[in-house]
Formats: sequence, C-alpha cells, structure tokens
Amino acid sequence: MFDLEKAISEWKARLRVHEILEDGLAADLETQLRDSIDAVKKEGASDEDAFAKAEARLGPLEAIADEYRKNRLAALDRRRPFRASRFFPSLAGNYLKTAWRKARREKAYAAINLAGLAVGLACGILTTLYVRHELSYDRYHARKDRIVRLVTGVRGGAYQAIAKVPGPWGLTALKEIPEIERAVRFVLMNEILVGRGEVRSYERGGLYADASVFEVFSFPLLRGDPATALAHPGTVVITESFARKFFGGADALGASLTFDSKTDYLITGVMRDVPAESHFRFDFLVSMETYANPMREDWRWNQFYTYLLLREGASPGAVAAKFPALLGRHMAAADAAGYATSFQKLTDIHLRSHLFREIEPNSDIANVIIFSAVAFLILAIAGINFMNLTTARALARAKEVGVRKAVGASRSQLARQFLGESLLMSAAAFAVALGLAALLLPVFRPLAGRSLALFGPSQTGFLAAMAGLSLAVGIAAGAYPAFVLSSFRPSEALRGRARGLRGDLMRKGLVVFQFAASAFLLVATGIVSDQLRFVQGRRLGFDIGHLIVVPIRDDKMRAGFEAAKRELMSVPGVVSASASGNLPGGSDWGVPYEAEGIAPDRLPPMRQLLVDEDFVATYRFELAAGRSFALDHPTDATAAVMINEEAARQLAWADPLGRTMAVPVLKHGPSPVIGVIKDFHFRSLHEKIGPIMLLTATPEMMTVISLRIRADGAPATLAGLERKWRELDPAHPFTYSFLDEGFARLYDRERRTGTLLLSVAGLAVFVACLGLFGLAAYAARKRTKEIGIRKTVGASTRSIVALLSGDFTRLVAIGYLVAVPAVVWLMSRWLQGFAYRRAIGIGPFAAAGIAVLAAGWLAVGFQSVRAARANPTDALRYE
Amino acid sequence: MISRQLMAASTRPIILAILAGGEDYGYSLIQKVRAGSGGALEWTDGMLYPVLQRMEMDGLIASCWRGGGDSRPRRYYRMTDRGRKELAAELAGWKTVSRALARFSELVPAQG
Repeated sequence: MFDLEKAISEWKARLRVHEILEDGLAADLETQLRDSIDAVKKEGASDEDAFAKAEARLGPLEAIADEYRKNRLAALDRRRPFRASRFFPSLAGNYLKTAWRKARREKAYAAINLAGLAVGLACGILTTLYVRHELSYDRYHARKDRIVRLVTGVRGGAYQAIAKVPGPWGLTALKEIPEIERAVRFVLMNEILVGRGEVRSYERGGLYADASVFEVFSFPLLRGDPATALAHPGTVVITESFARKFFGGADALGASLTFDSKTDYLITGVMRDVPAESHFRFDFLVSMETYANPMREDWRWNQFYTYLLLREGASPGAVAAKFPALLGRHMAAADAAGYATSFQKLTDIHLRSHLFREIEPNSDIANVIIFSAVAFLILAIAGINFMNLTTARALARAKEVGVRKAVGASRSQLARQFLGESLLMSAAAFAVALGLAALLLPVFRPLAGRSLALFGPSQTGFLAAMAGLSLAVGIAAGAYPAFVLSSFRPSEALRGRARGLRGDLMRKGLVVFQFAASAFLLVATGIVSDQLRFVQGRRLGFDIGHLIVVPIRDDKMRAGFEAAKRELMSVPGVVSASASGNLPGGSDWGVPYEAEGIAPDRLPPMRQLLVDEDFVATYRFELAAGRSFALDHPTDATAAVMINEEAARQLAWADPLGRTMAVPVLKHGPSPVIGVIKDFHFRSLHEKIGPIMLLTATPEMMTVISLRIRADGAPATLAGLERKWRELDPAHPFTYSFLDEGFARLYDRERRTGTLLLSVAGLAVFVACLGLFGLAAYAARKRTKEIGIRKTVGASTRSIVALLSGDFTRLVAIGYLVAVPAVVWLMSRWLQGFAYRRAIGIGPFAAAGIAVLAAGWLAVGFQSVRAARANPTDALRYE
Repeated sequence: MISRQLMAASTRPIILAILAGGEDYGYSLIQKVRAGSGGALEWTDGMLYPVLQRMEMDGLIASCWRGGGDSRPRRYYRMTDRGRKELAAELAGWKTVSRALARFSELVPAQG
C-alpha cells in the first residue's frame, strides 16, 4: 500500500543531500510538490501516480540545486570583498585594559615614566611661561611699532651710550622734524614723602611726564581727561593701586596729595596700573610743568628719557639721521659733534638695551635663550627617559605582541596601540605637570624675577599649546618604542625569543647624553657659585662691614649736616659718621672736569664722589700718598681733591700730589690733589676699577649720611639712632640700609642665575637618575638567570654588584667627560662678564663628578644589590 | 519548440507581467504560464524557484510567507518598483525584437 506522506518524507531526505537547499528553499519546493500532487489527484489519479507525476514535473533535484548554487555564487560575487576596518572600537577597551594592567603590575616603571615626563613638562611649562612673559614686554601699546626711544652716545663719557638725553632735544625734534608726530619725556623723581592726612609713605615710583604721555603710550585713564590731565603745573595722575593706598575706595579725582610735606598736587587722573610687561613702571606721573630744575632747558644735561612717536610710514633710520643736523643748529659745533644719537625700538628695549642709566634694569635676550635651552634640555632628557624605559619594557611585552599578531593584528595596528598608550601616559603626565607647575610657580617667580601667572583667561591659548606640546612629546617619545614593539615576529615572540633589542647602542647613547647634561649643569652651578663667593669675599679697598647709610631728607638737616653728624656720633655704638652726595656702589657721578696740563680731548673719563672730610676715615680707605681731607686745612672745603691710583695712572702723573684739577659744574676751581687713595671697587666687579676723584661737597649736595657702627650691639645702636633721628627730623621717618647689602644687590642677576642653574641641575640629575634606575632594573631582570648561575658557581654578592654597576658607571663617566669641554668653553664666556674673576678651578669639576657618579651608583646600586642578593634558586626558577 | 535560451530570456518578463496583476505564489504562477501560453511554454516546476530567488536578490520582487488555517502556508511574491521599471523596459525590448523579426520573416522564402 502506497503511503504518500512516507514518499514525501523520503523525497525530502533525498533533497537534504543537497546542502544548498536550505530549510526555506526546501519548504518552497515541498509546497510546490504538494500543490502539484493535489492538482493531479483532483483529475482522479491515485496517490502513487500523483506523486510520481508531480515529482517528474518538479524536475531533478540535482539541476535545481545547481541553479541555486549559481545564485549563491552570484551573491558572493556581488558582495564587497572583506577588508579589516582601521579601528576596532571593541579593541580600544582591550588596549586600555592591557595598558592599565601593565601599569599596575609594574608600578615602579609606570611611576618613573610618569614622574620623569611630568617633571620635564613642568619645567617646559614654567620656562615657556617665563619666555612668553619676557617676549611680551611693551607689546600692549597700540602704537608700539611707531614708538622709539632717543638715546645718545657721549664722547668722553664713561659709557657707550646713555638712555637719557637733554630736555630740549625731544621737543625741538618734534618742532623741526615733520616725521615725528609726538614726543614725550620722563624724568625720574627722587624718593619722596607722599601724604594725605594721616597716611604718609615714602614713594619711589614717581616720574615727571609730558602731557603727551597718553597720546604716545596706551595707558588707559579710568578717571580724568587724557588730553589735559598733565597739562598744568602741580597736577598728578596716579595709578589705581596708588589711589587705593591713599583713598581706599573713594574717588581720588579732584582730590590732592601732599608731596614732601609741603606742596599739594591736584589729582587730575586715575589710570589703570602699568602692566608688569613694561620696561618702565610707575605709580604716579607728575606733570613736566611742575619740574623745576634750572638745567631743564640745558642742551647738554642728559636727564630726560625721551620717546618719539613717528608718523605712519616714517623710517626710523631716516628720522634718526636728521639728528646730527638738528643738534648742529642749536649747539656749538664742537659740542654737537660729541654726540652720537640713535633710536631704539620700544619693543626692543626690555631685552636688548643695556645702556648707561636705564630707566629700570632691563632683562637680556641671553637669559631668554639660556632659559629656553635649559628647559629644552630637561624636556629632552625626560622624553629620552620615557623612550628608553618604554623600549626596555618592550621585551616584557613580546608575548602580547606575539598573540596579537597571531590573531591578525597588523603592524600598524600594534604601532597605533603602543603610540596610544604613550599618548595616554603623556596626557596623564601633562595633568601631573600642570599641578607640579602650579606648586613650583611661587618658587620659580623669584628665580625668574618676574610676576608670572599660570592660570587665567589670557592663558587658555598658552595652556592649550602646552597640552599640544605634551602630546607631541608623547608621540615623539612613543614613536620609537611603537616601531620596535610592532616589529617583533610573532613566532619568535611567542617562543620567548624576542630579538635582543637592537636599540642597545642608542639607549646607551641616551644615558650618556643625560649624564653629560646633568654634569654640565652641575659644573656650571659650581662655577657660578665659586665666582659669586669670590666676588663677595673680595677686599673692595675699603671696609664695607657695619656701614649703614641713612638718606638725608630734610633740607634744614642738609644745611646743618655737620651738626647732625655730631648728634648721631653721640649715639652709643656709632664709631664715625660722614655725609656725602653719593656712595660707592654705582651712584658715582661723571661730570666734565679739567686737569692741569692735559688737553680736554685727552682726558680719561673720570668719575666723582662728593664727600666730606670724614669720608675717607669712615670708609677706611687706604692712602697710597699724601693726606686725607681735614678740617684743620680750611681750604679743603672748597679747593682740594683726592684721586685713586688708577686716575693717577691714566692721567700719567708720576707724582700727582699738588697737581690741580677742576670741576666747573660743581663750582670747584682748580684745586690741588692732596692725596692718592689705593684703588677700591666703587662699582661691581663686572667693571674694572676706573679713575675716580673725591671732592668735598657743599651742604646742599649732601644726600646721605654713612655711619660706621660697632659690630656688637647693632640692634641697640640702630634703636638709639632712630630715637636721635626723630629729634633731628621729626617730619621724616628714619630709614636706613646696610652698604654691603647694596653691594650684594649688584650681583642679583648672577645669584638668580646660580639658583636657577642649581635647581635645574637638581632636576636634570633627578630625571636622569630616574631613567638610569629604570634601565638598571631592566638590565638586572634581563640577567636574572646569569646572576643565579654566577652565584651558584661561587660569585660573591660584591662581584655581582660590581658587574652590574660597571656598565652604567662607564656610561656616566663618558657623559661626564663629554660635558667637561663644553662647560669650560661656555663658562669661560660667562666669566668674561666680570672684570675680576676666579680662574675656573678643579673644585666644581670634582664636586660635579662625585655627585653624578654617586647619583648614578645610587640609582643602579639599589637594583644591583637587590639582584645580587636574591636567592639563586629563585633566579634559576625564573622564566 | 522554443529554445532553452529563449525560454530563459523570457522567464523573467513573464513572471513580472503576471505579478503586475497582483501578488501570487509559485504553483499558481506555473499554472498561469501554462494556461496563458496555451501549453506552449512548459516549465520544469522546480526550476522556477531558483529564478524567483534570483529576481528577489536583484530587487525586482519581494516575498513573504503567508497563509495557514484552511490552506497550507505559501510564499507570496509581489513586484517592487524596480520590478515595474524592469518589466516596462523588457516589454519594450521584446516588442522591438518581435516587430523586427516580423519584418525580417517576410524575406524568408517559404518552404514546402
């Protein structure tokens, strides 16, 4: 008996032989078969016949399957070929996880890597901050490109050029040279007592200024009219913070301030504080009309800082070239010929101008360059470390590379993974560096001698640039390891035979470089501090200890300075007292003089100190010949001079005593030389001792009283002096300073350089040691088995430590040797800045060598000892 | 007798033409072809299905299973927009060929 369902299921079994006929297609065909059977059966056929007929109509399964296969091929053909995507998002998570696990498992490496890079970046950030600040000076003035300062060389002056010119020059130039649009002049104001009611203080931040100051410079007035603010005598414009000091929150405009306890000046304007990025700053401006000096119209009295605003398109060179003719029109030809005027661009002054009598001490482009170079050095050391350590660690990751490659990672994918890791690391380092920089900023500020701010609205761009820099370092430092790591061959890597790193030579070179840089900085630090010690320990030619200097502020006291001296001498502890017009330490004068028998144009430049007859005794100068000023020689008060040995030498006077010299400007007619003082340093040791003359001054020229006090009981003496002073001059508070402190300030710049070098050298050594530490750890681990075997066959711990440290010691030593010639060359040039200097000694080299070696051994030794003392069985079981 | 090539070439326009009248399923399509051609076009039933699959791959038709209840579930095919365009193009082509053939056939000498 034929069973239809059974026949159909047998047919289905035959159909399933063809894999291509999947369930859906099989269902299509079965439906067709059943429909067909039903139709045939309706015509009256038996089940068996119907099935046979329908199956025949359907056709051979083989042929149908063939057709379907063709369709499948066509479909395959049409699909786009398989291509690996560039980036598998799901793998990113894996990358992060691997990196994190790696960092956790090797905390020391990760910390060293991060710390080193962060320190380097922090250095970079701070230095860039400083450099940016230095380069931004005076750039806030809207017309900065057209502003120049008029300066001049003076023939016979003791300097190349002076930053000040006589008063009439600027104004006359404005009238006679059409290319000049505006001129503004400033005159420094002496320290002066400013008061408003009970609030009184000495202020040294004042300048006399022409009314045009606000048309030339961009000093915005908050209150008052810039056009008229300084147009009249007795008017003053003050800065915001100055106003706050005297007026609190009240409006200062229209109020007045009392100057020197006698004159009231009307406040006609309040201006925003002068930005820190200015080559001169001030707290208040007094109108030039107020400036009453008989010399102000003199064509030869260099006392005015003169700034000119040139017209649009005017060439500074062409304008400057018109000055000789201008001077010639207004001065005697001989006088005019003695000047060599020139212009300085406003924006060049801060970094490139080092003239005599600068309005404020300027910085130096050399500083900027040195700072940048040092920062770059540290950044490079840090970057190198990063690179070195990452590459060294590559071996430990060989297996990972092998697995990734075996499952289909391409080389570029791996390179990207490792680059990504180093970017991640550098991003983290940047965050740490920012924190570090913020922490270090207060320490760094005094070093750089500038007020700097790290965060602020104007710093966003800067910080973004720094972040960019960090990433660039990340890429640069990560590129090499990424390249090396991704180049492992999977089969070898998996068998644990990762190629010995070929970067060995390179890594060694980098260690040498780091230690060369460290040694360089250390030696330089030593030489700088040696020189500073030398400079400050040098005998100056007079006794600078226990000399205090008190400015004379009251005119009555000035007139009766002899009486004041006597009064002060009566204070217990005071040894002697002397009044003078100026002091050793840089305030000497250089006015024209005449000397017997020498033509004016042959005279050497001569400096002057204006003193009284107690000066030589108080300062304890040593006499080479003759005698000192004395009260019992009545003519000494007006007609006697002393000179130093150098003056005698340059004047070519074998026996100067009795020769006459005159200083007409100081109303000194021809006066005999009564004594010769042994050469003494009246300037810093940067300068050679030049010729100088001492002459007695009239009372109105006296500005200070110098007091020698006994070494013991100085506080009591000072208290006594203050009491006495209050009796003598109740109007002015007692202020004093020690002369040796004033001399020490002459070397502020060098001291800052020294401190900076020291901190930078410390950083460099620290970072370099971090790197060495990491490398040593790596080397010790790489040689674990070797150490184990050596110990088993009887090597001592000491010999193994020596073995492990030996390599690195050699590298450190090479680095040191490389540094020596470079530092000798550079520091010799630095020392040229001193007229009196110590020869470069062996001391700094020995100290730096010991320091570098000790630091290196410390870094390597820890690892070596640990490796050497390990139980050899553990070592041999390793791997 | 119609050649294999001609059969193959005509299959797709014929299926599209039938589906132009509404959706349909496999067995019914075969019946309609047989009836419509007066038996002149005789397809092997099983060979229709790979053709339908291919047409679906090409986006000319779409299909879905439907039914159940009284009748057995079947896969119904309907024409897509793309199929409609294809049909129009095919018909135009066939008409052109057929007109050309009609003209050329006059040149063929009659045979005994």
